[in-house]
Amino acid sequence: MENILFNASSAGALMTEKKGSEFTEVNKLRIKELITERDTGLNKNGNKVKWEGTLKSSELEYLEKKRDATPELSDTAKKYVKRVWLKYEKGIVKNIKSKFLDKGLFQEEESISLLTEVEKIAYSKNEERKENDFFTGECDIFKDFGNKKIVIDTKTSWDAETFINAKPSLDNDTQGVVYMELWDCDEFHLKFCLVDTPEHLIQREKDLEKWKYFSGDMSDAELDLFEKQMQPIYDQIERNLTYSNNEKIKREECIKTFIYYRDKNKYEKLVSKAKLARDYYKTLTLNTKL
Amino acid sequence: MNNNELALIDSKELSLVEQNSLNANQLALILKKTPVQYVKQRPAKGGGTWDYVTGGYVKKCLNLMFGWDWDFEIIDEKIMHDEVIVKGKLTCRSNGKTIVKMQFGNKDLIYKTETRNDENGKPITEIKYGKEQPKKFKSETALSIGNDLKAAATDCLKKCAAEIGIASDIYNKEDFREIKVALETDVEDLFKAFKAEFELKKELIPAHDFKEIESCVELDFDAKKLKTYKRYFSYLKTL
Repeated sequence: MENILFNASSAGALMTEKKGSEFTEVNKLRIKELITERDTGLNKNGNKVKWEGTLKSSELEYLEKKRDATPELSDTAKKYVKRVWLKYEKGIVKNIKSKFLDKGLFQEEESISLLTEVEKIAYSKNEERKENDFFTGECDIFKDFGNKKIVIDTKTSWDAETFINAKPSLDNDTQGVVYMELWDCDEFHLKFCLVDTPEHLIQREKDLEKWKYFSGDMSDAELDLFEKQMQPIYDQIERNLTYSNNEKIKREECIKTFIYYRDKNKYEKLVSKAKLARDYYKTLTLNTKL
Repeated sequence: MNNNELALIDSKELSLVEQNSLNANQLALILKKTPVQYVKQRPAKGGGTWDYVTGGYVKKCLNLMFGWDWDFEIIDEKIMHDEVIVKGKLTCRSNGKTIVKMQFGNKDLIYKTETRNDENGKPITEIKYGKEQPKKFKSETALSIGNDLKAAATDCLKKCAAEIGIASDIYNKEDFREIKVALETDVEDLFKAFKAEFELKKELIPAHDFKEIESCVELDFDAKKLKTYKRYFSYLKTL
């Protein structure tokens, strides 16, 4: 396949760094400090320090090598490219269904309605897929306020516990970088939403709980008693997965927002990784030894 | 909305015959979705699960619908192939008319269990719940044919009642969905209300929201857009 496009929602793997190879801001500062010490004999506090007979020159050499090293794909990125390869070349896709994905899929409109209700802004589901030379994606919401344009991605949390612990991942971060580029936007809002779980998924949870304790040997009387014992568990499952009728939960509490601003450097870094990924993609075969 | 959720139907649509045996209240009871607390599940033969309602619920419905004016009679019974089969007749009287429904009900026979000895006269055992205990084999003596007949009769009553329409959302899931067609009129009503609200409030809509709402109003009605209409209608209401 000629020049594959990476999906915005999963391109985060490309941004992972090979263990120990990441050139950080701390590394950058340390190089500056070491060069000053070497050239002036003074450290950052203005005190006289030795250069000869210390390990500082080899430290500087190591850091400079790290800075100038040719970028490489991490093992995680390589695994991701292999996954993309298997999808495009062999039609193999894993993890296509889960209860978490199901809830997100069924309740996407519900999450958008929650945002509209709480933020008093008329949001609608974006149905346009965009692509550029490297990436493709379909954001959930695009909103043009005139003075600024934003893209929003809604993440429908499975339950209150996943919602309270929800935090952005590298995937979300990269997704934002790509969306802002594709829609030419200034901001990316990642919004975790807590909305009711569809009835059929609640029923499934109840059934799973039921079959843990159910026995086919039970008589009708035992079955009635069993159902009575299970009722409080069913009620709790219902409470755990339904929020709109819970007086203790305010609608405003059901949205958690993280805002990202457009960063050209991040996008350029991502493009350089995408180029590496494409090169790696071309080397792959099913029985690859890489 | 759930696939088999009850559709709202107009009172004019309640009956298509002029003098129905059932009045509007009785029909409403039949068309109502079975309350979840009465819906039970059991593993189905051949895998999966099977929804059912209790005999008590069916009798309660019949009592409420027909004011206790109903009879159930077992016409025939047979025991064959480890199964009890009964044929029953449900007769309900309402508004001077009689409704009769006949159906079959069945129940697998339950046999007593027995322990057996091996060739050496020692009891045959098995490991169950982590300890060795005598293995139980199905004997040739039924545990209680009376109980099995009662269960088959209850099953038969449920089948007859389902013919009238009681718990039809459980026993005739596919047919029950058909009623949902009427729901489209609700979405259409909502769309009309949303359009009217838009006309009323369009001056108040902020510029950044106007285009989206206007384009939704201008597009042709689409029953699948229930949530979008609901969302925009609620939004307009807050202006």
